[in-house]
Amino acid sequence: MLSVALPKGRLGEAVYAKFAAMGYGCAGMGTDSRRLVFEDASRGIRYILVKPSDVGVYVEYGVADLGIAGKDVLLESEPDVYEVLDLGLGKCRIAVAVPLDFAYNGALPLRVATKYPRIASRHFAAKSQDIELITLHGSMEIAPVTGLADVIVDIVETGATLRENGLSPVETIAESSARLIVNKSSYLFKRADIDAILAGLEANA
Amino acid sequence: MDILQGNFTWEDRTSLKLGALFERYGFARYYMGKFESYDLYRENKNFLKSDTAITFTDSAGRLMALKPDITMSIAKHAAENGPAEKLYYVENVFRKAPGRPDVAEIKQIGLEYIGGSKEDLYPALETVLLACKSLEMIDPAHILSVGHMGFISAALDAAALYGPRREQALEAIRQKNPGSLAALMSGEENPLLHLLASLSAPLPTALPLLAETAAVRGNAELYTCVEELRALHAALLAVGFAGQVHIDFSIINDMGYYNGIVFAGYIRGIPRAVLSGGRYDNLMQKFGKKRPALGFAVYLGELARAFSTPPVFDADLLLLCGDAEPVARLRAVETLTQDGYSVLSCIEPPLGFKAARTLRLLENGEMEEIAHA
Repeated sequence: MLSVALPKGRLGEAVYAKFAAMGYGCAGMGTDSRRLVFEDASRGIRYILVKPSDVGVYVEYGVADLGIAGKDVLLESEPDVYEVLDLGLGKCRIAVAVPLDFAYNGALPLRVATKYPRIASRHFAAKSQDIELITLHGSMEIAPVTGLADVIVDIVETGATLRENGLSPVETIAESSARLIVNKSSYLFKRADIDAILAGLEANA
Repeated sequence: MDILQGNFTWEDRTSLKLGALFERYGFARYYMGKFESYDLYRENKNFLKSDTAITFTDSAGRLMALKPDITMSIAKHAAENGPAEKLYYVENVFRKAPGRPDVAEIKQIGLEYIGGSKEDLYPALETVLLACKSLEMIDPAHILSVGHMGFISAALDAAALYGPRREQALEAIRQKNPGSLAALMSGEENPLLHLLASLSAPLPTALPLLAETAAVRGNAELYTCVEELRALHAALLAVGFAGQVHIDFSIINDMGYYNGIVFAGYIRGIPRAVLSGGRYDNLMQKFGKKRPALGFAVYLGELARAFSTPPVFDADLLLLCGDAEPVARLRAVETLTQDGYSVLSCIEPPLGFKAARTLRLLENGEMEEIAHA
């Protein structure tokens, strides 16, 4: 039995469609249900639907053998797993975004609002730039306009949301997309099953 | 009473069994203090699994640390030359472990094989064999994955990957991500690098794949590493332990310390490596000792969660003594313990206490059984 941790939401649905097309469909998935665990013993597959930021945890602890997680989540939480494939879905970038009229006062630490405190800390530390870190969990875009922060570090797709809130991305920290991650012990003991899924996803990429 | 069946934890019993295994191969137990100068760890942070340590100032004003690592202390205090030193330890280290919010006390058993000549393969063969036997003792469903830092280093040199690109390549190999490695090479095909990032196979399957790669055939350094792995396979085959050893280059330790074979042990059903080790000649050189050294550690804490089972009973017997005279009570307890039982004597049983049998002490000094689990 292979367990797969899928992120709740559009990305998880898109990846599940690929799994189903490969023959790993599971009754009940995709219906309007509050269930979060689905299993098909005959196909040897189990799906666990979790918060996107928790996929790495489930895979690292071996509750799931495989998982789909964004590179942004992996860079932030750094789970001890194998990252074996870029699925090319959910492409975006992690960027520093500033207000259009931003003027940096170098005499003070830059106040950075983000839901990626570790990514932001590493980025600015590499530039030896002193910052004050404000960790938020959503609606990052309003932090500068409300005076909470000078800049934000957040994911950017088209940039439309940033523009609507008077922000502009000025520096890309990393590219992000959905990745297939594998538990290290599962990789050894369930290799054939994992290779079959990997081959199927590579063929459908 | 078999002492191993008493109230010993799984960790206690396993460390005794592993210690006995190591002693059969001539390893002597090494005892050490709990503290070490913090400078040792500050100057060698990349060797540690975690760079967080508990520090304090001793009575002489020196900054000390509760040991986060044992190998470094053994390497520091090892002789500069002389006959080989074969040491094993059962110690607690203090460091951050996966999932723990702060520094924790972690029980660890391991061994170090220090000395001999750099050309002598025997220390590596015996060390890897003991790693295999340690895993076998814990659970027959195990795999020992073996990599080689020298092979990786030579392969990256051959691909002219240096500086930040070398770090990115190492990360791609560590993550088993051939796609990232290919992107780093700008689409230029490199079968050897692809193999480094994708290979995880039993020795008999992996060795021909490596040996037949053109890059290996044409590179003396790579060829030498493959021959070392081939010799390892032959030795393990000769003693019946080759079946569960894989080649896997995703096992990457800091090249500043590790220079040859590195390995990690996995047990089916346990998500993380439970054993890790390798050859660390470079660490010895940092301490001014030109002696080869190998070793490994078994992470008992990681295993205990999977293998520990809580005891069924708190004691064999619960003796209810009512208002018996203290001497009569002591005499009764002495009689029972001399018969080999564990006994709790009391007037009122503690809440939730579980005993296999419950006895009552009578006025005439005899005991009657009133309950049996």
